[in-house]
Order: sequence, then C-alpha cells, then structure tokens
Amino acid sequence: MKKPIAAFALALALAGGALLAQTLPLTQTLNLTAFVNSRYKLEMSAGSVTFTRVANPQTRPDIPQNESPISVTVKATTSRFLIFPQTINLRIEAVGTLTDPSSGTTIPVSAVTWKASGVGFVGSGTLSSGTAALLGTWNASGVYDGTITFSFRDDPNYPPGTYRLTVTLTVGAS
Amino acid sequence: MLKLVKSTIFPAAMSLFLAGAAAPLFGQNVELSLSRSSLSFAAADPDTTPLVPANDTLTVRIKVTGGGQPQPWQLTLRANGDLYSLLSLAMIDISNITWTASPAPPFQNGTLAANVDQVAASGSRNVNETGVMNFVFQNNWAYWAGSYTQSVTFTLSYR
Repeated sequence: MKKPIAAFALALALAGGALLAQTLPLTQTLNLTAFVNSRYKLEMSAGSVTFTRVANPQTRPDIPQNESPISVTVKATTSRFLIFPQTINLRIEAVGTLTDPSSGTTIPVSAVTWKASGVGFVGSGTLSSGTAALLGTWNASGVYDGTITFSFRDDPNYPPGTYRLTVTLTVGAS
Repeated sequence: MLKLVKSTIFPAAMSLFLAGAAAPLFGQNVELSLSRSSLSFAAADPDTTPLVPANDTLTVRIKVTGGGQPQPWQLTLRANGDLYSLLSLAMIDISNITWTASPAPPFQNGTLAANVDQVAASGSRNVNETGVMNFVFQNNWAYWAGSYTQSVTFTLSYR
C-alpha cells in the first residue's frame, strides 16, 4: 500500500516544480513611445544692416550693405501625412516704407533688394510692403543654413537723410 | 496504517510541491520583472533638450538562484524594429535610444538596436538583483513630427 502512495507523492512534488516553476529564458516586453512635435526656429547673425550713399550720385547705383552677409539658419521639424510633407517656407516682408523720421520723407521699399545663397534659399528678390516674398522653401525637416545680403538702389532724387525700415523674416509651414 | 501514510507522505508531498514552484528540484529559481510596461519621451526643442529622458526610470528585477552548478546568464534587450510613426509612415533609427543602468555589474549601459540583442546585464554566478535603467532619446530637428512607437523585448537567458 505504501509504495503507490509514495510514488504518487513524489510525482506530485516533481510536477509542482515542473508545472509551476519558471525556467530560462524569460521574456518581458517594454513599449516605447517618442513624441516629436512640429516646431520652427529662425536664427540670424545680425539684426540690422546699413547702407551709405555714394557722394552725389548721378545714376542709380546699387549700394551693398556695409556689413558682412547675414547668416540665416532655419531649423524646422515639420509633419507629413503618409508621404505628403508640409512645405517649410521662409518669407520676408517690409513693414511700412523707408522713412526719415526727422523729415517724414519716404523711399519706396522696392529700393531694397536682397540676394540669398544656400540650399533651398531663393536667389534674389525685391522687398515689398504688405506682401511676404518667398526667401526659402524646403520639403523636409532639418537645419538649413544660408546667407542674405541686402542692397539699396539709390536715386539722385532722394533727399539726404537717415531712412529706417523694419523687415520681418518669418518661418512656417504650409 | 492508512492514517499514518496520510499524515506523513501527503504533507511531505505537498511541501515538495510548493517548494518546487519556487525552486524546482532540477532547475534554478529564476525571475524577470519590469516595474512598468511602457515608457515615453516627451516632445522637446532639440537645441535645449538634445537628449530627452524617458518619463520614468525602469526598475528591472532579475533572479537566477538555486539549482546545481551556477551557469552564466545574461539579460538582453532587443528592439523589434525602428521607431515607427503610422501616420507619417516615418521611422527613426532605434539606436537613438540609449540607456544607463546600475548597479554595474551586473548591469551595463547600452544602445538599442533593431532586431539585435544588446546585453544589459550578465553574470556567471547566481544573481538576485534589482537594477535601475534610465532611457534617453536623441533629439533631432530632422525628425518628422509624429508619435513613434516600438516594443523592446527583455530576455533573461543562459549564455
């Protein structure tokens, strides 16, 4: 009578180890999620440029800015739906006209032109007030470096003075 | 006679049964557990936060004890692919996620790799240790915006 019961007990004990105990390898799963938001940043090496008139201009010379070209860096993380990306745009727009505050004399903003270089930058253009001109365009997230140089087309008819103008550069997506 | 058998053999058998569940007679007592089943990395400016820490640390408990002769063991992490965004059909290389782990040893730092085991801990003797892992995500302007996901399989095995 004892032997069958003892054998059963031993089998039960072994079954306990075999059925309930874990053995290697063991695995566990960890789920990772990384969130990336759309964001845009514009960096410029300078916030102002100046032009100096040539003494007694008889023609309409293009006067380059006195300073070195402005370095422009566009940083953009943009989105896309499936394979259709949003386009990153850098635009430039004059606010008002060139104005001499002391006399109130103005010069059309179209007297100021720009030349840009760098991948994705539009080569050249003329400033416009109230209309944003395209200065650069890209179709993927990334960091884009370029330079921009402004010129002023002088005119003998412009009265002497110190004329000021604010220009806005804007980066965004469409 | 029968009562004697019941009072001696059955209790002994039950003791062995329960002991076997915790420490098998012919194997080792092993355990692998994670403190959480998911981690996330918040969106951040790549300039100010080039390395994005995960929202929490991960506590990993590993146990390889008992049995006979100790065998070399290892804990590996295998990413089951790159980070993937379903909406934009974009991927980010999973190697942009790295971890630091302590205590070292048995834990070690590492970098995730797609479909390749990366050792996160190892030893040649019994171990009963709780480690802390901190994951970070390499931020970059060049990523497409979106929510990227991927799973990582932790495997505790003999080497």
